[in-house]
Amino acid sequence: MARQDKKAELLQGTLELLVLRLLQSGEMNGWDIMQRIRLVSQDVLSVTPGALYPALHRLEERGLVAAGWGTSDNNRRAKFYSLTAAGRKQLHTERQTWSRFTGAVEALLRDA
Amino acid sequence: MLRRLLRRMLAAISTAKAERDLRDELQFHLDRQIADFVRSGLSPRDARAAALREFGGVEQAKEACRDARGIRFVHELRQDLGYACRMLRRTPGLTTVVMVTLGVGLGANAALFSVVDAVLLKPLPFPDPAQLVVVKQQTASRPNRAVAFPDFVDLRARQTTFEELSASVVIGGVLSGDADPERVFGRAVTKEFFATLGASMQFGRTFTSEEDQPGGARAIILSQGLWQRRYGGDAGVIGRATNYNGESYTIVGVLPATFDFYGRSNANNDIFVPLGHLRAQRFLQTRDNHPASVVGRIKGGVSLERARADLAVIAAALEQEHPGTNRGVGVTLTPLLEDYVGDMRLALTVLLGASWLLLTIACVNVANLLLARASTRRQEIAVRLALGARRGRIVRQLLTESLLLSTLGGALGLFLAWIAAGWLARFAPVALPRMEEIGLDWRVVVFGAVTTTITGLAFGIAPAAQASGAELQQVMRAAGRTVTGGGKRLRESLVVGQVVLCVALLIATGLLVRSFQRLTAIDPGYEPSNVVSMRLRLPDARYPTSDRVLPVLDALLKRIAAMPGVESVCLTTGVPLGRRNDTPFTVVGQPADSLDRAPLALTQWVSADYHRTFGIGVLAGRSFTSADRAASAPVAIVDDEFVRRYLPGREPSTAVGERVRLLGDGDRPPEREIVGVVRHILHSGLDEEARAEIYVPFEQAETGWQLQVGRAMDIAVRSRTPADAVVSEIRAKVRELDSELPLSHVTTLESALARSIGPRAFNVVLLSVFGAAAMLLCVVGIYGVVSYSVSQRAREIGVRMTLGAQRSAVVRMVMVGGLRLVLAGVAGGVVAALLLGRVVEGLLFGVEPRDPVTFLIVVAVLTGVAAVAAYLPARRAAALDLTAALRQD
Repeated sequence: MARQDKKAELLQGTLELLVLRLLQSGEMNGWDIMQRIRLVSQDVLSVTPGALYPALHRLEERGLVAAGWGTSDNNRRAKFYSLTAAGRKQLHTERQTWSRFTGAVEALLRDA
Repeated sequence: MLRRLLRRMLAAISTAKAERDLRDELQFHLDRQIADFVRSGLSPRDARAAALREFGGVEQAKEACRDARGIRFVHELRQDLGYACRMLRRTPGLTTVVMVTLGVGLGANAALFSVVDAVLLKPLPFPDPAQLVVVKQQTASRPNRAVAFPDFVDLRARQTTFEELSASVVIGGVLSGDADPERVFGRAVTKEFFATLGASMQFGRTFTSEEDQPGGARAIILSQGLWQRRYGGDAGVIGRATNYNGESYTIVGVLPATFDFYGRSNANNDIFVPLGHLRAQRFLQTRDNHPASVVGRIKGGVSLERARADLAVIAAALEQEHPGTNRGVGVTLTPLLEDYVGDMRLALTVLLGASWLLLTIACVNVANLLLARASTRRQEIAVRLALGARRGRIVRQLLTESLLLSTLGGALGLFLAWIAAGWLARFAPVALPRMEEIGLDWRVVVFGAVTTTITGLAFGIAPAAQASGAELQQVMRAAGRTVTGGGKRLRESLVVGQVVLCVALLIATGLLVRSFQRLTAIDPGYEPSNVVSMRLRLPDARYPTSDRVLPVLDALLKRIAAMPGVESVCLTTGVPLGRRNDTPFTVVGQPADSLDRAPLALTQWVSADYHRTFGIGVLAGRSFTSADRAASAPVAIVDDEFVRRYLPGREPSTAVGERVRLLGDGDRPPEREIVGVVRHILHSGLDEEARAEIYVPFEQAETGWQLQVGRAMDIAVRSRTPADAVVSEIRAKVRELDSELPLSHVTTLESALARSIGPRAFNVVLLSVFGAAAMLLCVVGIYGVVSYSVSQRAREIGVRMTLGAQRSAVVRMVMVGGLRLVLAGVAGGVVAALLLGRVVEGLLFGVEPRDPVTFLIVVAVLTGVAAVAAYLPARRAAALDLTAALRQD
């Protein structure tokens, strides 16, 4: 099960935002995304496959990402996800929402 | 949004690929994780275990992914279907029984519905058929008469609620000239006839106003059937001349195959001629003769009531203007379809109700069988619940099973219905209207699909609800030793319900069977065997006067009488089960009524040997002889019903010598002396009430009338030789006299009689089939319930017998248990039948709806059969292997 302690579980909405952001830099498969999140957040954030893959499928279902099959670097068949135009737009909107949200929280913590 | 839906639907169809992709995707992830662990030093086996732990539940992840894609429902459905198929294959006996039970129940329903659909529900093939009505005139004594032509003209001129009104009279004659002479029947119609119906020609046109006049151009329209038969479907037939009744007519139109006026294959639709030609004839000029069928199309948006009121006002006005003829004459409106098929409504409704009863019984049986099976699966279900399955999912899976079963049964049922519909269309009595349209169309299939689904849900719910409510602990703990409690009561009440329905159905069947027996036992008053009859039509043009007609008839009679094997031959204006003439009359010496209120008698003009040919008994006086000619004293023969009604208290022998006068028997009807009294006959069918009958010698008929009927007399022959031989010989004799005289209406009296009871026989046969099927299903149901309770109580029975109970006591115990249910059901069924008796009353004859004999027979038979059904498993109980029973879990 989850090895929580210092790592924080990602909420569903936040996970989707991060996935969209990561895919902005190029297409990736699920494994890469998981590794990247761990790497860039320096192991603070982790995501279980049981949460990530459903999230990816959800995004694909909503048309925000597109999926294709290709070979990975070790010559295995893997599913790669890429951002669609709609996804790009959604990313932009979500980033703004996130900024407003964190801004508000920061403001309260500072001056409450 | 639409793309998403499309994607989901495509995914539903090709889940195999989607599943493979999902598996590959997650497998890739796993492999990378494993490689990672291997790189950090674990053995391949440990790495794999660690990777799986790290992943945290592959199946759950897959489930969540499917959920995200919205195809989880479909995936689970496929799983359920696969599981259901396997379950059904595992118990092939049960599956087959259920399928056949459902197939029979659903098939009977679909077949009956296809009949009801074709006859009652399908609209007529005209635009806006609901606007078409039939107009009739009614008097106190005659409620359902056709319309007098001058009245029709007035109605049409003065009405405000109709788009169009048209009239037609039935005609018949001989077509000749361009092919073999052929007897045809049809209608003389006003020029708006086809426009009123909304029927268009396949070729040609309808009549013009010029043609619809006395002396107008002679135009004729052909039916599709006649056109195919006689002209081989030649489209160039328009404009050609043909000869009808000796006169030259031009063919101006051909009707399409879909034309339907009182039946697509109605014999009176061969030819159509303009009514205008006949307008000068007396029968269309007078208001006291009612020959015309009137059809109207009500204006759109106008209700039937308003149209009725409209015509009622006109009828009232006509009463004032023509008190002599129109006093008390009202007008009725009936929708055309209703007029055509209304008679069948009751019978078909009863049959449909019976088929529903049968289906219900079938469903109950299946529910019982599935309940029995469900309780044996309680352990399996309890385990599944323990492993985390949702109750809803389990219910859904069980319902999928029952829906699959009902779909299989429904498919079988539709197949059976298709066969049955074909059989019905061919062998149903000719009297069944619109029967050529019986078949499986989309409406029947939809109906079948809906009933199948409802059925599947109905009998699936009970087992599903019961099974999923299984208490975990109770079931896991002591399977078999638990009393099946609530389930048992449900199944028993279902069986009781079955028996109730079955008894009701069987009583209805029994009542109809007894009615039929009563009917066929009735003496019609004539001797139907060995009599063949036919009609001879002499064309007006070549036989314009009596002295052309009478010698031909005379010569023909003599030649037929001389044929070997012929016992007697006669002429008549109407053979039994054929035409009838109701004539007003007065008895001389009794107060005379106006024409309108004078009593009516069934009158036939006959030649001398009429009563001998038909085997009608002479009760007093004599029959007609060759001495009764035109020149001799006017005579008549009456029947005993006449004496009973109009010479009350008199013996038939004393009626001889009385005199009657037939109104319409010429301008000054003579007094006719009654010279004989004969036994009455049931002219129009065995279920007819006896009518007063009068016979007049054909030779003494008034000249005009004699000419008119003489040109279309029925010939009846009693002969020992087979009918076919007689008919072909007579045809030869007719050809000798005149090569262009065809015979029509050829039939034996026996087959006419059989045809007249055909509809009843049909109902009885169908209902009997339903009743038998219902009884069979009931018996299977009782057997099943008793058998199951035996297997459940095997242990208890074993204990009893070990403790010294006799086998016979055990058998009795089990049987009593079963019979209790049967008797409860029988009691309920009898009550139901008493309450519902009124429904079938209209179909009965000579039998009360509460006829005790029928009730007793049904109760006895069903109880007896049910007792056997309960006895067989009871006997099995007594023969149980004791040790095995005691050891049973």
